[in-house]
Amino acid sequence: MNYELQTTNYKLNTHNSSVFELWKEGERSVDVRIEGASMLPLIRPGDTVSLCLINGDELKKTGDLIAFRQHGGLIVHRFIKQRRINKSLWLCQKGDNLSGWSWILEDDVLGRVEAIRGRGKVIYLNTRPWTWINRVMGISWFLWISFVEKVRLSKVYAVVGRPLPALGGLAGRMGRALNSAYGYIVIKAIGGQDMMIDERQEKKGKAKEEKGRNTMPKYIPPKIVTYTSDEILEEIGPAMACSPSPCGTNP
Amino acid sequence: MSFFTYSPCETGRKGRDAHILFHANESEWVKVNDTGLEIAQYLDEGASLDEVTRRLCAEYGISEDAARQDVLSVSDQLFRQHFLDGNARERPARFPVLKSLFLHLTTRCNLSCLHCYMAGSQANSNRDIPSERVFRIIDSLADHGGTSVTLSGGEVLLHPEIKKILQHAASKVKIELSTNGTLIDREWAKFLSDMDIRIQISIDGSTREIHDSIRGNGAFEKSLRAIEYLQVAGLGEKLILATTKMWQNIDDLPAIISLGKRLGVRLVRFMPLRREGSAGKHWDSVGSGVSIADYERFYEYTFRLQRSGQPGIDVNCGLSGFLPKMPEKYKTDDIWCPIGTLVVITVNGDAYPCVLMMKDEFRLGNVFDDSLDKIIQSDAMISVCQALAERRNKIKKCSVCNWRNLCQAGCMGQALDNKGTIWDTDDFCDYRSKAYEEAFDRILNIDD
Repeated sequence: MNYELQTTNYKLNTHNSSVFELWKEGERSVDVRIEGASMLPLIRPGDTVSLCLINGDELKKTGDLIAFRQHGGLIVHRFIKQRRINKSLWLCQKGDNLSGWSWILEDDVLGRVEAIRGRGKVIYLNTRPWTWINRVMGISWFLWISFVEKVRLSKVYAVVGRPLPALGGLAGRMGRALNSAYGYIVIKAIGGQDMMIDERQEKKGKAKEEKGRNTMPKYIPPKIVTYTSDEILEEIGPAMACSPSPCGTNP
Repeated sequence: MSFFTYSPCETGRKGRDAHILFHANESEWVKVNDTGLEIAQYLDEGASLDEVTRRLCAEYGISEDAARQDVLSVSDQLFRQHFLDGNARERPARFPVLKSLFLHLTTRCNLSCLHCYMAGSQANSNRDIPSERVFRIIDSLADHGGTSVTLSGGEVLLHPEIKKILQHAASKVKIELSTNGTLIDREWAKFLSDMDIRIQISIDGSTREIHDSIRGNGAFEKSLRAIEYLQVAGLGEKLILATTKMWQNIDDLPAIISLGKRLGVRLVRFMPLRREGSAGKHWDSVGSGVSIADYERFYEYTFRLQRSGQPGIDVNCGLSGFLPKMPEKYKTDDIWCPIGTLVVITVNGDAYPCVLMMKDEFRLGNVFDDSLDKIIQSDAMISVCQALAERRNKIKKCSVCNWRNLCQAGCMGQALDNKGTIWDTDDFCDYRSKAYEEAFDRILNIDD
């Protein structure tokens, strides 16, 4: 059974911690509708993401999309890197369309995004090339964040007390350029290929089926299939061929 | 109902338009789609072919000709598989016919294994079946059309006249020799290579430490040397390793399969530990530490190994009653268990229907006093054959189980060992059910 939740990416809404607990206990997958724009262009407002439940310490791959609790709401962003401070594991997360990033505790992580449904398509993130794309995005953001962090720790920053406007603008421009390249080249180029299933087609099929039901069901001719024991062994593997008798008389 | 059905769970996977129809009384089953099932159900309710045709026309708006053709084809196929006369046909019964003997020739043994099911009852008495009696028994087996004999002990090679017995038996029937191997030297290997014989050697550990901790010091090397001699004598293809699963080796079983591969034997056979004889006395050290989950883990391992397609050796993991499709050789009476075709004889001549059922309540007679004919046709044998066919219906949980005509309530002897009665299943019923479910889910998803 899937729960339908809503998330707002920064706008806090209908989330209720007891629902999360229930989800955690039951180890269910959950579909979440995204309302915010922080993950544009990959996730658009109105898209639905399928989350599978994980623990924060299971996250190992830079670039994975994670869902976490923040201020009582549910946020879906990209995981960049992690750091252990005083026995607690902190995870760095960032929205693709945001210039900032922040650190969260591993306990706040609820799930990983497995699929994104929207614009009539479904993207399975655990299939290629999306695993590669996510990795590239993760590493790119990792380098960008490391660069900005380094600049902030530099002497110039310590003296001035805030990022140099020119540098801040440069960093922002780099981030946006990266995101645009990702959005308009990668997603457009790959988005239309076979790996995506057109939900509109599915909907059309369902509508047709509904219409048919009101008149007469479609007739599918009967089919009866028999198999020989050899065919069954071939299909389900010789494992199933274990001799039935353990008594040593009927090997 | 002349059939019952198994359909895929509502998991959203493909294969939803597929169902398995199981015959009510036999191991037969077929796969049908929704329409096939619908027609089968109409026919099973007793509707005539015309009636079913009319119903299809009304329901789907198809032409009468098309509907009639489909109904005829379904009814034809189901009748051919005996589906629609399920109520009229009785469940196939096992009629006792002697095909093989399992002879415990001697109680002598040069080892004192912790897990021996014979030791304790007659151990150290050094009793043998006299060779003349063995000759008569084997002649009688051959006269009844029997084709094979298993010679066991004790250590069978310690029978004072074992060579004569082997020579006599080899001229009449096929032999399987069950030995610990420690006495086999070059001369024995040469002698055995001259006859049609299969040799089963007991190996209970892949290393000297494990094997010898069960069978005594020096046993491992002697057994391995015996295998070497037999290989040199050209008997490699006829060699079987037999391992009893117990606490000492439960984690070593995969390594025993590898050892079998290295030694170039044909088959490794794993047998259940029985709480009898020496094993009963040493139960705390051999049996009580092994859980059902341990055994199941091993079954899973052998399944994975064989599914990988390259086990490199035949493995019989010892799980009984797992046959998603009944092989042709069991089709005569649709029962896979050899009970009723086999007589087990102890050194004092007592006859039993199975090695796992050597208890007074199942004693069939005494081969020194009664003819094999009388034993095979005894009331005790007939009633055990009846039980064989009836268990799946009389054991409550079997009577409502989808797999009952395939697993046939599992091995009767193992149930007796595990639960103390044949009117229950063995300890692996739940595991078998899971394995069947997995197998049939896969069958439902085959694209035909």
